[in-house]
Amino acid sequence: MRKAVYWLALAVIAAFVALALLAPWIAPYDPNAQDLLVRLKPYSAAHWLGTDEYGRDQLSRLIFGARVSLLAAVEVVAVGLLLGVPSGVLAGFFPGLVDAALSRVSDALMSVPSLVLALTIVAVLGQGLVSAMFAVGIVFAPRFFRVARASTYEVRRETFIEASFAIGCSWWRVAWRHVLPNAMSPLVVQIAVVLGAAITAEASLSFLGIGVQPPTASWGGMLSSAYQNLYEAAYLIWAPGIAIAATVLAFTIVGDEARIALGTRQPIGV
Amino acid sequence: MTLLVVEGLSKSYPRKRDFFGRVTDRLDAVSDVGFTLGRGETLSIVGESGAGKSTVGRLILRLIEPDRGRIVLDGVDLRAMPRGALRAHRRHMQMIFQDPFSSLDPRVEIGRSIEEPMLLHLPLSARERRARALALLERVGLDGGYAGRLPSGLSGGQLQRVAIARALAVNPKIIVCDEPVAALDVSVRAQVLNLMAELQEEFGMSYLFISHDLSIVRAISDRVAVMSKGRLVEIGPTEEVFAAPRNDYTVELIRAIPAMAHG
Amino acid sequence: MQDEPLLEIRDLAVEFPVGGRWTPVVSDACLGLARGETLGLVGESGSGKSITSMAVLGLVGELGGRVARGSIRFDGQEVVGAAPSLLRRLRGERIGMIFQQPGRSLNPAFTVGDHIAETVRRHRGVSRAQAWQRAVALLDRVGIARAAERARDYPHQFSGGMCQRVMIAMAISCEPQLLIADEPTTALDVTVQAKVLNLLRDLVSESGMSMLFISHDLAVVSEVTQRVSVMYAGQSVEDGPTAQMFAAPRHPYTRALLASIPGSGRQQRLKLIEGSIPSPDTVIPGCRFNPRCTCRVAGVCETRAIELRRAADGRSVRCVQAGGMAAAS
Repeated sequence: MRKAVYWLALAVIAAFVALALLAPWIAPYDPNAQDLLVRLKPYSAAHWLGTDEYGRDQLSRLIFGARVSLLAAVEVVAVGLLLGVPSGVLAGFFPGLVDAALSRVSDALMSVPSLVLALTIVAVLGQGLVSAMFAVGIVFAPRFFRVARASTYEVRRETFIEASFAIGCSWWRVAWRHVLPNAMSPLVVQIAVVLGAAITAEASLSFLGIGVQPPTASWGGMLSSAYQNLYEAAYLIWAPGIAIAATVLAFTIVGDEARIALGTRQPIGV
Repeated sequence: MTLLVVEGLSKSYPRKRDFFGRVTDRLDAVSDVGFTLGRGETLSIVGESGAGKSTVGRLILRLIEPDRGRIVLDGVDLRAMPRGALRAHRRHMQMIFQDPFSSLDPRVEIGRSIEEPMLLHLPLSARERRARALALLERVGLDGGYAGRLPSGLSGGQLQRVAIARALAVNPKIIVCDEPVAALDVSVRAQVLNLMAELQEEFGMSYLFISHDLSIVRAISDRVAVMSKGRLVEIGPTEEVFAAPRNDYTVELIRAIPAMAHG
Repeated sequence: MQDEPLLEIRDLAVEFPVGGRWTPVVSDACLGLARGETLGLVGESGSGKSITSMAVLGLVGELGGRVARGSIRFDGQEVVGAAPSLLRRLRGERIGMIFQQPGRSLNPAFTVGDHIAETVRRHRGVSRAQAWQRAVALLDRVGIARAAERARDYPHQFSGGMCQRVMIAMAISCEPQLLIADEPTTALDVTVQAKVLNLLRDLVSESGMSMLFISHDLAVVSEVTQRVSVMYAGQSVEDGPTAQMFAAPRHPYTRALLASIPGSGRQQRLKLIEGSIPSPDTVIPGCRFNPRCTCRVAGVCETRAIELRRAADGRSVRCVQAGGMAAAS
């Protein structure tokens, strides 16, 4: 049963990525093309998912919205990794002053509610998808920091690390070639989970009008206009809502499977 | 011919701190230890847990920084070296660890683990390194086919042989062996110890053999040093120390060895 | 009734799931322990000695395995397949056990006195105060100074040797008929080991209890035991009185094991046993030691399974050459 769910989740992710990459070729309409004659029309043969208040085809907007979500997710994870992992590895390697300093920074970031933090950073960097996702990346960086730090701390104590130093490896080589590969498994799990969380974050910010700016199609933006037209066109909620829920759930499931699969900690110790 | 001279080696760790973080009590892990090691000689350091013998091994290699003391390997003052030069000098001093299951990187193939010291210290091409690694594997009694395998799935005895091959890879002058057979089955110990003895005859390196097992020490060492609570209490040729121990602690240690009551 | 052995294990086979299949970890264990006797159970990793002792306590199921075959009779009662209530009464009350890593067997959240008192209270039903008194008395008996104070300390405040003494106190608290000691001194320093072994010898001679002493260290075994049983790769291969067996071993494995112990004096080369211990799922036709045996008989040793045969002098061997070997030595 669990296996079936796992494969389904993978299929959803594959579909998501496919939609995002092939958007220009498979979307039936230009997502920003307005046709005021057919505004707020529900499901029909011409428009499978209906139209919004500007007559824009929802299906096309959904497909192009997947692009935005994918880009957002990748950017958030990239920023989070770049900020969190090197500092986490340093903190795990050099317990003491270095660890103390870095951990305090991480704690400070984590103590601010994530949305507030994101909004503050966006206020400094300016609106738009890239800066919004950069902000979310900073919000998630402490998670990667903590996992990298804990993992490094554990691996650092293994005999083969001491052996690597004894052979004559430099700090850099030990960290890069021996510590990091062995500390990767918990990070992989975090990456899967954060990808899902990033999609939610993007949707939230776009819903608030902070992230992706209209008229660019995004799932959050679609939810926002669905909210505004709730009385006349309730059906507008379904498409973006299900898309977000399904994608985030899929990433979470895959992350969970990764945790179980890697959780046996096979490489280190038998 | 003396290879290694150690004098006044000391290392202590903070044990208690006061409210302000200042250290009020220290634990002397190693106090004022000194000895010499000749070329091609096996010197064993024995003692019980907490005696400081493993620490001495690591201090000599500067895997742990000593607080005080002189360490001169083949005329070169190891303590005076800056860390960069020390790293390069490590090709002359290698170590074999107690736990064969965790002393090799579990994600790296056996062959690559053996090649790593060569990569760091010898100007060989990739093919030359690989050839030398295979030759070393054969020399320690393992089939060349093991080179592509990961450590998991090999037995303790096999892994320890790989560790020996890695230690040999750059022809060191001294190998510090930290309880190398303690974690191995009794019938495997003899195999590994014999291998080490053969290699010493062939390559001429010195062993600093750290162990708590006095029967093994008696069988394989030229000289024995006895440590207790961080201090060196007795040192001398093996048979002399065993037959006529001078220090009370040594006497107690030897007396406690369970002897084969029959046979 | 008194002459019947206290513990008798016959044709025991224990299996564990390895890679999805039930694999024999012990394929044929046989041993007998008389009342008041100390029997050494010797073997290396993979010999099955620890599992055999677990089977005596009926703990194989808890470890995820099963007893496939055989019989274990303790004081006339069959243990294999016995009801859980019977087994619970055996453990701690009539059979005590101590393990290799004493520090790990104690609950760090409870004082040492609590550990012992709980055992006493559960099996003897006495009051808290009486149980505590008994605990202090036991700690004193096993050589812990200032027992009354120390009983209130926690396991982490004790060294390895002291922890083992605490374990011994727990194990003998209900005056068991049998004490199973699984590598009790392997993790201890040699001077501490000597003291703990002395303690065990004293306790045994005082109470007349039997002891099953499991170890890979032949020197320790020779000091402590009257009889020895040797196991290799899941089977009992030889047993007999300690003195005779070590002076004149009959099974090639026992001989090789004794020979590989470093004798006194500097040796050029230690004698060794070629090859390595087979893993439980390796199928070896015939004698399980034959791939490593230096005196195997072609056509015989690798074809048929060899049984454990008892000789007239009470010693058993699992080897076709036993008769010839007895003559040679």
